[in-house]
Amino acid sequence: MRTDDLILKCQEAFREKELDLFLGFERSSSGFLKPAVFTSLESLEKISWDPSASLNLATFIPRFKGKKVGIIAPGCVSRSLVILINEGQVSRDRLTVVGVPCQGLIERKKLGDLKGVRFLDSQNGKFTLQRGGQIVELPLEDYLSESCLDCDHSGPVLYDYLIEGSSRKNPSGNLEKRVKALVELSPGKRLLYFKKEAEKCIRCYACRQACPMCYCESCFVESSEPRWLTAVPEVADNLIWLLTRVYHLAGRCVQCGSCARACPEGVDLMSLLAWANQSVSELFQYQPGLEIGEKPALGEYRLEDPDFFWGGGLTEGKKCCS
Amino acid sequence: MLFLKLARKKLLEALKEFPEYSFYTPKKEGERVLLKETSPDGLPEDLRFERSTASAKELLFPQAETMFYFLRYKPSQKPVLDEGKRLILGLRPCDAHGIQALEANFLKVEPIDPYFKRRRENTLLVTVACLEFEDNCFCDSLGSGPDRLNGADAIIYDLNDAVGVLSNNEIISQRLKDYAFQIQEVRGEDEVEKGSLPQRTVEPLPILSPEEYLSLILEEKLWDKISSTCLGCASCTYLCPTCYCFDIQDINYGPAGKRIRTYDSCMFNLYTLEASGHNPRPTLKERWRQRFLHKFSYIPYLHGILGCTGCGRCIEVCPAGIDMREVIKDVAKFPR
Amino acid sequence: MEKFEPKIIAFLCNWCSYAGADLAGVSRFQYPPHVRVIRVPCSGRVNPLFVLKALYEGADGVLVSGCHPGDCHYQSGNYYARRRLEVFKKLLDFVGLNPARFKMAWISASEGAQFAQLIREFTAEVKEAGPNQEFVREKADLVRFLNENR
Ligand code: SF4
Ligand code: SF4
Ligand code: SF4
Ligand code: SF4
Repeated sequence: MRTDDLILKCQEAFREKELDLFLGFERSSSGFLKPAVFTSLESLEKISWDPSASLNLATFIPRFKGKKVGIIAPGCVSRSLVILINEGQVSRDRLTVVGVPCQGLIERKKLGDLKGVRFLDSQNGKFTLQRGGQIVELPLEDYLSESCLDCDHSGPVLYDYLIEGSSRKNPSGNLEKRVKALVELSPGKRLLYFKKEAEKCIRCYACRQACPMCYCESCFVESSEPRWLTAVPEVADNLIWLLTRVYHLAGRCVQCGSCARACPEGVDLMSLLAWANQSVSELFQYQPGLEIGEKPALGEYRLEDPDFFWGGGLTEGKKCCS
Repeated sequence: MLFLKLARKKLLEALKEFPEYSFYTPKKEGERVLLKETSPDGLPEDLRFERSTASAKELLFPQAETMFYFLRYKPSQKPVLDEGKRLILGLRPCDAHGIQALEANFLKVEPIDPYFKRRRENTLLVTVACLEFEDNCFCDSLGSGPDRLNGADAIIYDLNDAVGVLSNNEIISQRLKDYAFQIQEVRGEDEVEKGSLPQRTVEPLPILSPEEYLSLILEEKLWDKISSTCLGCASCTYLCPTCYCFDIQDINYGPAGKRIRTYDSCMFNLYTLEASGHNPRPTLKERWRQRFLHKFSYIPYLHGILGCTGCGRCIEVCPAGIDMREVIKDVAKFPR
Repeated sequence: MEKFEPKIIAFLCNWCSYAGADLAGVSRFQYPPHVRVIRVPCSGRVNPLFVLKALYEGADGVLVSGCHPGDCHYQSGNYYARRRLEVFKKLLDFVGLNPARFKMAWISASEGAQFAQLIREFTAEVKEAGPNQEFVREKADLVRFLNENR
């Protein structure tokens, strides 16, 4: 993918669809991409896309109700858009999607001491960083976020314009393996593990804010009547926060990793989310964000859904009130 | 104010003179650098510590603390004060500036905050002058580092084979005296030997006066642009060394309860939401304006020091990649 | 050690399970007394947060029970509940909550005997699991304060 093509295509979209604004990325002073709202054809000359981006841009969509919005979207972002459309958060005709290929996004926490260096460029499975006068070249594969390593929909599923280019193939299956390894631990060990993770959380809600599927105007975590948990970041409270958020995302999460990258404390959100999605897909054969018009998995039911309830399967001849 | 020169070994020995204090230093744990209790024996000889992920405020003004306990129908207002004595070693000069800003808010204006006050009285803050800049910090543009004492009780300079300790604190100067080979009465940082200090090549950031910043308060376009990609999370304000806003909740258990306070953040929608449903800061534009002007106009106007320390934590942590340095430049560029 | 008497919270739907519990009562079926019943309009009304909150406040076991599939007073509430609670239960198991602490059941208005049976089984399981230490909120300081000031 060439940046020139991207700029031209986005400008074309902006012009043809008479857009009010365009969501994309631009280079920050550190060289890493940062999200940007472009409001004119000229400003779009700065639009850019590479593995140094981090946020899922669809998280900004509910902010622009009633506006005609353009957006660049790799696979995961396009899937979040599908969900936002299905859940009535944006109408398809106000949305213009420029599909982009994706090689995966860098998890800056993996950069460790290199965190603050300048990002220069990424090509052919490598990326370059600059520290002082020194230039370091690193293999992309080692620094991609966990969600991207496991991504099985790197190409956009919904678009009006498409930028040609190659997307990441061969999901590593690492996350799946990690989830499996966790499942194989004893419940006690798992509890210990997740309590440790919960302990790290400082309840800054960056994960929620970075997630396109967390668009609620008021979130349960801040509700004071009823108050489900306190604002004290203690383990039990944090577990309620993390578990309930993950539950709200079961079958809705597109595993873009935006939340995990945004978390300043490196809480292991991905294993929980992956497990929730896996449960939904095993129980109800459901993949989030692939089809327009589909209802959320937990917003519908089938008569023949699996039944693990005590007394289940005893329906025949045990009717009451009818 | 005293300036003491000690042999490196002697300083480490002298630190044993504080038996009633628990030691805290920045310690790496996984990806994070935490302020953890340590023993004064295992200190690194070069006295170099990483910058803590969260700022030093968490030891003086923790994210959550109990203010008092009460019984139904007979509320007791006796504050629960933290009596632990701590010596925090290895902070950066910018951290000490942050504490100074907290002191301005909690101790210099009525009502004085008893919780912070007691902790501050019980804490010795010892910073180490920075030998190099971090990638994201900019204290040199703000006049708050990397060699300044700021709000610390002592600052340590690396003089190669020896160390220099500048302190305006009775306890520290008294207890170090016998270990020093040279003692000098001085008036400030500029009169002492500081070893080599880091050099910056880029141009300093343009910092305006509180009044000049205030004059931009109605410039919607400016704040709109700055806040357009902000997510409204609180990672910046929670980690910020000078953000001191808190919220209060009661936690009950039968007829007993406790009142706690936890960090709050002006970046949350809920922060200014009124019971009527009206929100005087309805969008991120107003919230960003508040965050910026509080640090660069209101605090300097009220207390004579900047409300930003230049530590760069918010830059490092912001999931939207918003860079305070860029914001400072954008604001300065905006026509007044 | 004191004998462990578990606290169990049961969310019962108004139309079937609550009536089933009532029937168990009037029929004089014996079951252990550890259950505190909270009546809800429908099993579909049970927000998983109810379950977490109950555990957080110190319940040792939580039961959700509604009408059998096909019998919901509101046609479909229990079908939604089935999907949601099953996913939720998997999540609880995944983070290592003892699976014995959370149970879901269908009890109709005519199943008084089954209700008693269910409670006997569940109580035994929860007793076996022991006191809930997994998800309870931190309240030692409040307990201490209360004891000191009684
Ligand atoms: S929960 Fe995280 S991974 Fe899932 S959609 Fe939201 S941001 Fe993406
Ligand atoms: S955590 Fe749940 S309630 Fe909160 S914003 Fe996300 S989906 Fe909404
Ligand atoms: S971003 Fe991380 S630290 Fe912040 S609330 Fe989410 S999980 Fe907790
Ligand atoms: S960390 Fe960034 S995104 Fe979050 S509130 Fe601060 S400026 Fe906004």
